[in-house]
Formats: sequence, structure tokens, C-alpha cells
Amino acid sequence: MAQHPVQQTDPQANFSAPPPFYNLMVFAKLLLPPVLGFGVLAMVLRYVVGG
Amino acid sequence: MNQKTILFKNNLIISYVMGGFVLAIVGLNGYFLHRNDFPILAWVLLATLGYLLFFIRHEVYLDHANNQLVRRLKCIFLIKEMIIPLDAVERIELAQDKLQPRKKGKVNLVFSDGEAFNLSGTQPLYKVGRAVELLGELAGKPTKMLRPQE
Repeated sequence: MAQHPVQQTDPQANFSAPPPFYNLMVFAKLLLPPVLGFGVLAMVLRYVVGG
Repeated sequence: MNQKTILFKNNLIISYVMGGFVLAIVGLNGYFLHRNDFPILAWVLLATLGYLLFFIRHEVYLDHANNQLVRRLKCIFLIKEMIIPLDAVERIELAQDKLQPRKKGKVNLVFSDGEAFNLSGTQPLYKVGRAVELLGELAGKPTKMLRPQE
């Protein structure tokens, strides 16, 4: 119980509003894996079946 | 006693039906990719759209054990997780949408240093009024409704 007030006051003193949730990094992490993956898959498909 | 209360979560029925439809079409098109002249760039973009529709998971929940608000974006692997300790939040402001009064728009968390943080992002969330009421009730923070300026 002695540690509880310390834990409560600590974030109040240090915490400030975080930056916005969506940024360029989030979109890159969302879009790059499927684009690269499906791009490679399409190239492999075209090579295998010979389009 | 439940450990977390989900305030917002994306609709899984929509993601499974719509994303599954797009992915099925993309899969069929990939199977017949050698017989048609469908451009590969369009195929990749359509497949990406289906992948995002099917696999994206976005949720905002209240973690009771650690007394914090967690916003999490996942797409197979974790994209981003944001943790806000509830002790740092002073009050919660809820703004009404200007055009549709029944739709609730922005949710701002106001911190003790007076800075406001927009929780719902640029896209206004439907049914966010109930979520904010629940959040204020569970966290013990005052909520304030902001009317749009005429």
C-alpha cells in the first residue's frame, strides 16, 4: 500500500500528450508487407505458368 | 472480474465477408493469371486491399489491471500500440459532428498540463458517445460535451 501513491503521482508528473497515432511509419508498416509479398508472388506466378 | 473492457473494436463480420470476397476474386484471378491480360499492378493493389480488409484489427480498450488505456493496431503482426496511463488524464471532451448531430465526432483526452489529445483520430467513430460514457464511468473522470459553434 505504501507504493501505491508513488505509482499514482509518477505518470502525472512525467506524462505529456503523445504524438498522433497515425504517421508515415504506420502506413509503411501496413502497406509495404502485402505490396512486396503479392508483387513477388505475382512475379513467381507469371514465371511459373509462363505468361 | 474481467481484466479489460473493450471501448472500440472493428467489425469482424464486415472484414470477413468483404475481405474474403475480395481475396477470393484475387485468388481466382491469380490462378488464371496466365490466361488473361489483367495487369499485375492492379492485381497486387486489389490483393493488398483484400489483405487489409481481412486482417486489420483495431481496438481501444481499458486495461483494469494496470489502469491504462490501450489503443492497438494489428495486421497479422502488431503495427502500433499506444498506452495512456489513466492517472495522467484530467478530463474527457466529446465533440459533436457539425453536420450530423446524432453522430459523435472527436474524442479529446485532456491531460494535466492542459494539452488535448485526439483519441479517435481523423475519422469520427460511430457509437463513440457510449464508449466515452463508459470510459468516464470506469475511469472516474469527468466528461464534457462540446457543442459545435453556430
